Amino acid sequence: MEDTPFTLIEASAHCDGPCGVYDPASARVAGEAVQSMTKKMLALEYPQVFSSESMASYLNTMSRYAAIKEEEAQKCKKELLVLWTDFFKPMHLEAHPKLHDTFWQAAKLCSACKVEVSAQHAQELMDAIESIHNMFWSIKGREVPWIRAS
Amino acid sequence: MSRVRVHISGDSMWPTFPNGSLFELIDCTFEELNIGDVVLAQHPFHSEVQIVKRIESFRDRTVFLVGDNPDPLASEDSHNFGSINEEAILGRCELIQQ
Repeated sequence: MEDTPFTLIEASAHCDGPCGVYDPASARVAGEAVQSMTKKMLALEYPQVFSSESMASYLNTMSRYAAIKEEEAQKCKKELLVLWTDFFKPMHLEAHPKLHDTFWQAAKLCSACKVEVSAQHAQELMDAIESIHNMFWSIKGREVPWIRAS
Repeated sequence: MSRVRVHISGDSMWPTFPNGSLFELIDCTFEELNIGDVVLAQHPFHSEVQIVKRIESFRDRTVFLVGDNPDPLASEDSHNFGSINEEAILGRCELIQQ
């Protein structure tokens, strides 16, 4: 029976349409922006000359840094949640049992980076995104180095 | 009549049938199909694609096919493309190896 020739059909058992268009780079870029704005806020020095004009400039600069940090942290969280809920599947937990906790912590760190000006939490967010990067590309079966734009 | 084997690629039938599982295709009539059977079917929107899914239900002469993967985004099936006609069912799949 086993020697009987047979025709082989390659059938698809693939996922929904968006399959294959994910990349943690989107979260990484947003996370880097959060970290960059956090550093800029912490490094911004109080104006040496106290005047209405200098204070307006100082507050304007600080406000812009804060606004960008806020926006990018929200964007980072959105990118992470899309990866978490859409790309990663139950079977990926077998190889990456810390997957859920890593994403949960990363999302919490996005929130922390929004409400704080914390260099420590900004770095922890980047570390979490790096872990997600490594899990993602491991699942895709490719070696993609962790490279930062900044 | 030569035998036909079906090799699947993808995770939509995980955890029952992981990527790379191999099946024997069993020729059968529509009346011989049952709810729960794993079948090879013609994709309704892509003529070059054949899919392996499980029969969830029958309605008139149409079949509602689903993947086994519990993730709602892990299977393109009747949740996406709707029920398919009986003519699109190409046979029942019996597992040879996972």
